[in-house]
Order: sequence, then C-alpha cells, then structure tokens
Amino acid sequence: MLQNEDDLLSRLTDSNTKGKAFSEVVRLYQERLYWHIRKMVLSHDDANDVLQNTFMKAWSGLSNFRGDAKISSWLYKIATNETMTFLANKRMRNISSMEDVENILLNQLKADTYFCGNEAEMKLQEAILTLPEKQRLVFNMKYFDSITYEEMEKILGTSVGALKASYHHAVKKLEKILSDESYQYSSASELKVSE
Amino acid sequence: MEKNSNKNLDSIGGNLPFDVPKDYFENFALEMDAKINVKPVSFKRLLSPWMYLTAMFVGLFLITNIFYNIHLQNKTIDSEMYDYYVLSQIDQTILLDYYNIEHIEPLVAED
Repeated sequence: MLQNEDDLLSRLTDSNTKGKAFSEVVRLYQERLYWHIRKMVLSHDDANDVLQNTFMKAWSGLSNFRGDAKISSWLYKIATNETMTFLANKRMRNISSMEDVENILLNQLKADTYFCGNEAEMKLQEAILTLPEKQRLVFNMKYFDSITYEEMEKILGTSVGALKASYHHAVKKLEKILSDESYQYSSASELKVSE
Repeated sequence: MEKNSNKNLDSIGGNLPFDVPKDYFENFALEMDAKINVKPVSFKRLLSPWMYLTAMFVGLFLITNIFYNIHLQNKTIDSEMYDYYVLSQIDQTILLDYYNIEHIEPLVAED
C-alpha cells in the first residue's frame, strides 16, 4: 500500500502524468470523501457540490502538496475545510431568516428522497444535529467511519486527548437525548414506544 | 460501562441511512476527468476565428465590388441613353447647320 502511495505521489507531481494520476485519486477516494461530507451536510446535492469543490481545490493545490502527509489525510483535510466553509456560508445566507442552519438541514433531510433510514436513524440524525459542528465532525468520523484518533489528529489538527474527550461527551449527550425521548430500540429495524 | 451507556446508539447501528442516485460515483469520476483534463488548443482551432473573419471581409468585398460594377454599368447606360435622348430632340437640319459652322466652314476658310 505504501509503495502504491509513493508511486501515485510521484506521478501526481510529474506534469506529464498528473492528469491520469489525479483521475485515479478521484476514483480511489471519491466515495470515502463523499460520505464524510454527506454526514455533515446531509443533502445529496450539497454533498455533490462540496465534493466537486474538494477535488477542484486538490487539483489546483497539487503543486503545493509535498507528500509529507498521506494523500487520504490531505484530501480529508480539504474536504473538511470545504464542508465547514459550506456550512458557514449557509449560516450567513440564512441569517436574516432567524432560522438555525441545523433546523434547515433537518427539514431538508426529512424531505430528502435519498434518505433511506427508519425512524430511529432519523432520530439519531436529529440528535447529532444538536452537537456543535466540530463535535459533530468528530462523532461522525469515529462512530460511522471508525477513523483512529491519530488519523483524526492529522486531519483536524486537534490533539488525540481533546478528540477523545470530544467524542466521549458527544456519545453521552446523544445517549441522553435518545433516552429522554423514551424510545426503546430492539433492533435497527424496529421501534417500540415505552410507557 | 461503555457498552451499557452506548445501548441506544448500538441498537440503532452504525450504518449510514443515506442513498445516492444510480451510477452516481461512475458519473462523478467521469465529470471530474472532463473538468481537469483541459485539452491543449490546436493551432487550427486558434486560427479558425481569424479565418472566419477573413472570409467575412472577402465576402463583403466581393459583394460590394459586384454592386459597384452594376452601378457603373447602369451609369454608362444612363449616359448613353441620355445622348440618344438629346439627339432625338434635335432637328436634322439644325444638326447639319451646326456641323457646317463648326467643322466645314473653318476648313474652307483656310483654303
């Protein structure tokens, strides 16, 4: 894997081969990056836009990429920055409507034709939206993607200790929200209401 | 401890409840290929706007030339017709008298 990464890196920095090499990079990482973005922006259309911006930024920043980090870490970093910028812009655009971006995202999610979860999964997404953005990011990366804290440190620039604490608090908060709603989940596909 | 405290989360599961349109990733990769692979512009393609401009001016020149020639021809015809018209208005005897006075009498006078 390391040899392949070195080979890909050398082809990315060669002006004759960088186009083809970047095409390979897109195919290798597009799904991972897409889901990373989608978990934050929730809508498919928005995720598509942010993903395109991510790869275009990566393409234009290729000459500055020295290979001191893994290609995946570098791309994740760009995707994370683009996602946060997108959410910040969305917040600015809706400042006059006095509505939280989280409410807007939730309403979009409820109307989204590409949401295929059950009510329990919808409740979880709703609960995740109550977390601050950075904490939401940490939770998503750990819970859904099982990214290690060391890898997360490289992507987010936050220490492992702070990341562990953030994740722990996020889990506690989500558990409290889900318990307070008095739903008991026997499986991911069933929903029982307790007395 | 962690298992019990994650009871609700664990029971929901870690699968993402999102879907994508059919063939989304294949199409996305192709779209990115198209965006990043800018083909170099060929010399012929660079030249073609100038060629179109030149052809346009040549066409304009030819058309102008044709109309100008037609205009000149019409002018010649008009002037010829005018001469015929003038001559048709003059009596033959007046013409003969004019010819005598202007051309014959000076010659006779010289003799």
